[in-house]
Amino acid sequence: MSSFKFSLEARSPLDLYQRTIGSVTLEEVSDLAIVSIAAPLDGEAALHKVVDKKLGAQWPSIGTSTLTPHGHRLLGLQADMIFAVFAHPGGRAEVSIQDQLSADCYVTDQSDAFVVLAVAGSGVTDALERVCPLDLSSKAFPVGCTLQTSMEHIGVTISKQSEDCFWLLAATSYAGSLCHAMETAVIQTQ
Amino acid sequence: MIIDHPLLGPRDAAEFVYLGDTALLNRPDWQADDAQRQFHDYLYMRENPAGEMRELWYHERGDRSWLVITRNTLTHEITKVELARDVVRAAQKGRTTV
Repeated sequence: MSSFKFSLEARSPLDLYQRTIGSVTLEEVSDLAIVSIAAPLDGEAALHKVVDKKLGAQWPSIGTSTLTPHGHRLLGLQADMIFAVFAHPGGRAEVSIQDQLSADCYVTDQSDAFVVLAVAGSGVTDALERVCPLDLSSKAFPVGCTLQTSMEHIGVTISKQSEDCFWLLAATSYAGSLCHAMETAVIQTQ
Repeated sequence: MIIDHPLLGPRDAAEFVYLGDTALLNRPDWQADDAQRQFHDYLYMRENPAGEMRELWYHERGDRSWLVITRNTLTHEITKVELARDVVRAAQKGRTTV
């Protein structure tokens, strides 16, 4: 009977991709934990108070985001569900959120389901307008604004981090397609 | 076609999936004496109006909400958009059908 010794190494969906095209940089954001927090039926108001008290930031209304003192970014994706996005290199991110909240809510680790691609630089909005059907002007889409939409054939959550930096969250299986769509859009507009 | 989402504002219809008549919200009582006939009608019988119709749309490429949209099937004019959740809760309060 033979014994094998091997180890598995976790790799990010885009293998830490980074590319600069003209003034725009595309970069995969890795080592992020993404945890969904959903309220039970008719338990929304109670959960909003718990999040405010325990995480130190308001429950973001749909389309907005808030930032906790510990650097947890809360993305308001649905009327009764948000994402908490935070640096968490280890596993079991949902446990840390569940422990902090200890409230009636549904907490699910989504980290491995999503790829996060940051697109930044002057002219980034011009490139995004090629693929994103939303109005991305500063007035309609201010910093912190977070919305789900469709880019080409890909379901994407777009979150504005600063005036010239956006995060795009898509299903891991679309990582390559999203990267290609954005590369093409940036090349066409540079 | 643009759908004016109650929470998110105007969004392209391409982000939505169409399901059909809001009659689907009125699920019959499975314990009723004529449950079989009621479920037959629930599943297969549909009005097909040439004019105003209340429809279920799902915001799949958005906030995953179900909407009740009042749309004119002749002109495609949308006159009302409501969250299906609110419609059902209001009906439950008044104990009426949707």
